Amino acid sequence: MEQFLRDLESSLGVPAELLERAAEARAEAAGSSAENVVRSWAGVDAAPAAAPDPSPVAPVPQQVVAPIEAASAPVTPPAAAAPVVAAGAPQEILSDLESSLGVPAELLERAAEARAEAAGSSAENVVRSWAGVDAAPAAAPAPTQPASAPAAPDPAAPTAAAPAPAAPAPVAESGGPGVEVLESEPIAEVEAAEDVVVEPGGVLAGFPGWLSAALLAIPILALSYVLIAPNGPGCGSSGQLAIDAETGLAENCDGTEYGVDATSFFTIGADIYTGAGKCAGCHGDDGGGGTGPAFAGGAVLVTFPTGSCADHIAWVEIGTDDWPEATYGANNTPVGGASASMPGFGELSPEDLAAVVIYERVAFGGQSLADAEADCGTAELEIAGG
Amino acid sequence: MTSDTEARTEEPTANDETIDASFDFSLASGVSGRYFKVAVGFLGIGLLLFLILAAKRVAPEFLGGIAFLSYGRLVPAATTLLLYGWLTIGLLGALFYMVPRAARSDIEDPALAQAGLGLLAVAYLGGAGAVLAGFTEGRRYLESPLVFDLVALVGLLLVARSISRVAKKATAASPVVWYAVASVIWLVLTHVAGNLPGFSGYTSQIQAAFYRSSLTGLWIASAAIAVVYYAIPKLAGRPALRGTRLSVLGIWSLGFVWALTGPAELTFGAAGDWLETIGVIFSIVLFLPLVVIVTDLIHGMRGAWANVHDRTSLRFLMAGTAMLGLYAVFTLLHALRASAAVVGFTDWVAALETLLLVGPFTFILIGLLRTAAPDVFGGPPRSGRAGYSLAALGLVATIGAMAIAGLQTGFTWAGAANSAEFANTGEGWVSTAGPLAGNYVVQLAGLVIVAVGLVLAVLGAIRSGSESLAADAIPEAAPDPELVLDVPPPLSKVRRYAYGFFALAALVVFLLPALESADPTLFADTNRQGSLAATGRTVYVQEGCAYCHSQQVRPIVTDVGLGPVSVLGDYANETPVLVGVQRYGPDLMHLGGRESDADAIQAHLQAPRETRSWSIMPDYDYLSTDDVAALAAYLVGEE
Repeated sequence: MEQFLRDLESSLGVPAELLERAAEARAEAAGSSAENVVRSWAGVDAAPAAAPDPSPVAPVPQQVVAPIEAASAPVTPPAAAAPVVAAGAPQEILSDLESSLGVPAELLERAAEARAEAAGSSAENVVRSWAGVDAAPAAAPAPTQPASAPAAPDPAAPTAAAPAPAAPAPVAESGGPGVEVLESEPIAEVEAAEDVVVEPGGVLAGFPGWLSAALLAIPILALSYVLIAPNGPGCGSSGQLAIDAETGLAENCDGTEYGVDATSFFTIGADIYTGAGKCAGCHGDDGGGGTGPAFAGGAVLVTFPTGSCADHIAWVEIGTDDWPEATYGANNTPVGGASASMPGFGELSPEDLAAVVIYERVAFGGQSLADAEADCGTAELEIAGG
Repeated sequence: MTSDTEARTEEPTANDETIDASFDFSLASGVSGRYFKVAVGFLGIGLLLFLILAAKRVAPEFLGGIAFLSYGRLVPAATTLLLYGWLTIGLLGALFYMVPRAARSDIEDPALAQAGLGLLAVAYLGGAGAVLAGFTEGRRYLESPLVFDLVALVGLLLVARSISRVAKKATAASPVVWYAVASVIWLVLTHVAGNLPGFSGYTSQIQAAFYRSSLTGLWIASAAIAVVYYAIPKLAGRPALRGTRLSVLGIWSLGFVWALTGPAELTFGAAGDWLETIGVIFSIVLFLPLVVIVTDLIHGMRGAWANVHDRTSLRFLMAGTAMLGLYAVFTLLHALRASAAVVGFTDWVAALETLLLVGPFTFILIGLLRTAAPDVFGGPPRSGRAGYSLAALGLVATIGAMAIAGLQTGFTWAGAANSAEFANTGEGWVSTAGPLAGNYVVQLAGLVIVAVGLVLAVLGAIRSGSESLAADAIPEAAPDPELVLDVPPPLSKVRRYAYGFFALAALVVFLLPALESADPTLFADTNRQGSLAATGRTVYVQEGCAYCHSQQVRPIVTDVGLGPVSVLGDYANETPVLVGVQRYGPDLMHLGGRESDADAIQAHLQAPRETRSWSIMPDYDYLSTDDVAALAAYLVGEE
């Protein structure tokens, strides 16, 4: 048996393993042994090569190919067998074919109808062509056809069974109720046959186009999430807040307490600092300095360290011109030294003065908001709306 | 119709029977029939408890004052009965029915399979009874005491062995067999991984999250997909669908992706951000296997839909399959940070759980019960049209109401935090609880309709009627040649892949993050052994407080006002960890920081509606005064 299989393998180009399984399935259906089946195939030897063009009552080897047609074939739901054919198909030809092929006319009719639909022709023409070439019906369903044809109709449509090219051949050759034979052995044989015909392509080959697109799009979507937010969105997006390192409380992204932002000293101070005619003009929006000295990087806390917020407030309120001493700040900076004179901001309320100083100390000095507020004595002050 | 039935008894028309005329599956039918009957029993009790829960949300005094019917004990009992008793035993019965038929070989060891059933029934019934009696391990879906976990493990091993022995005989490339083999392996591994002792603190929360996603996707969903692959062609009178390249892609992408969605439920939790990102990514990718599997099914069924005579069974199966997509959508929105900030800890979680328990998987299983009825229950099912309509309608109402409640609650919390009113705590909770009263009524009504529908459908399958299942025999459609497998994967490869994917997921979303979260420097002391607060914590676990109260403050607007954001150290050394599921009541992480009067809390626990008329908390007057005092001490000391 091995010998036969190898012979068949080389002559047909079908892997021996598949042939063996086909033989087993056939044997099981026929109540014979796999070896007998293989022997019978080997006996005809060259016949399988002619498979695409067998006569309806072909010898056994044709089996290797036939089930493909069978698989897509003739049993359509009764509802799907439209009566159109009967009207158009010449009954004589059909009955001729019936007697010559031994196939019931009804099956031929439905086969013709299906074939016509697949080929875009009319059932009548199909029947005529069969009659003209006589042996043609069996040859018509070339092995590749059943596979490609079903792609056309909507897969979900209930009538999709109809257009599959129905071949009379398998019915004829089995000599019995075709369906039964087909059912009992489709698996291994169709695979074997398909392997003869099909050269599978890449990973996505054969997938519906939209599915391939979806298969690419979904991972890309997921990947883009990683690229955009490798560790999740930062503070401020998706409702996320920052966390205060000391208290563990959720807080605004700028480090201010959540829920009181509109009225905190910090935010009021920021508004004043950047306001027209105020600090930012000389000290820079980012505290980097300009006409006046820089605050950023903790410089402001060198002049007015923790505990000297009152001095800081006084300096801002009075300015260089009316400052009572020659130096100011903890490091005794000379008044009117390197930098130009600073105006006093006595017009600001005590709350606003505290707010702008707190802003400078927190935003540029790096002091924590809680420390700055304690330092500047905000407990005794009451800000508007607070 | 009647003559049709009679004819069929002599001459089976459904295709499988024709093929399998020479095969006798009476042993498999007998075994699966027993599994189905036990599962249906569990479904009945589980649905009853599930309804009582919904009723208690509407009327908290309903069946109040009885310890074992208290809300927090009923929740784990109901999920154990439905998730394990109904879905797991039912799906195992489905495998015992389908795998022998797909492999063309009857089971050889029915005694083994029945012993497995006995052990599982004892384990699940015992587990549910234990939590009702107050013995619980406290982690969601893992509440059963260890002894029942071990009994269940033995049962699962017997069942797995029995199923794989039959599956080995399969010769054809059958997706049913692939999914069956893989899902049973995954079931055993998941059970072991989830119950593995030795994890405490937030690590055990990560373990439980992995367990839940793995149980859902790798066991329940995989087995349900096996059912769909089997039942739909059978209903259409077609031979079993053969595996194509799409089927292969489907099962492996499912196996690869679903367990990795586990961290999706940890969004904004104390674990690393990278872990949460993995949960999000795979919640997106989860759509890939679902799309592939559905496409494969539709492809394989070309031309056969009209042949399905038993439309009710088909409806159950199709609706179940469609709801898998809905489940994935709900999971994704629960995972994505932007939406999780709104829906996290809200009724959205209840919607997900309801889908899990009585949604897609239950529908698919009922579809199979009806399909298998002629073999298993001795006759074709009764028309289940009314059952299907009620179940589907009720589910739409319930899930819809829960989703709306989730969004409503989430936006209330965030909006109130923005106006510094803090509706997520204390007296402010009335603005959360008040508007939901009507919604809970809709949820209850919906669930009653679902339960009636499911019971009708199941009874219709068990008590044979005249519904015709007979489909005209129709041959297989020719598969798209390009989709045909060059060589179908042998079962040994399926097994290897199943182990491999599980190991990968366990490593990435369980073991690695567990190592990271177990940093000993994070351990706070909190060794309060023997103290009043420690007793109170035991009561908290036993009464299932964690099903309605979270103990997790997230770094988002919604949780402003709840105190310091939760970090790993907050949960260190805790077993079980009480992160919680959902907030039917406010977060209790730092309750002591807002309410330091233990006596007031004790009074609220004993008669919630005397202090706050809108509260839906059960009366804990059935607990001893000492226990309530300990509970109050624990809550105040939480700070």
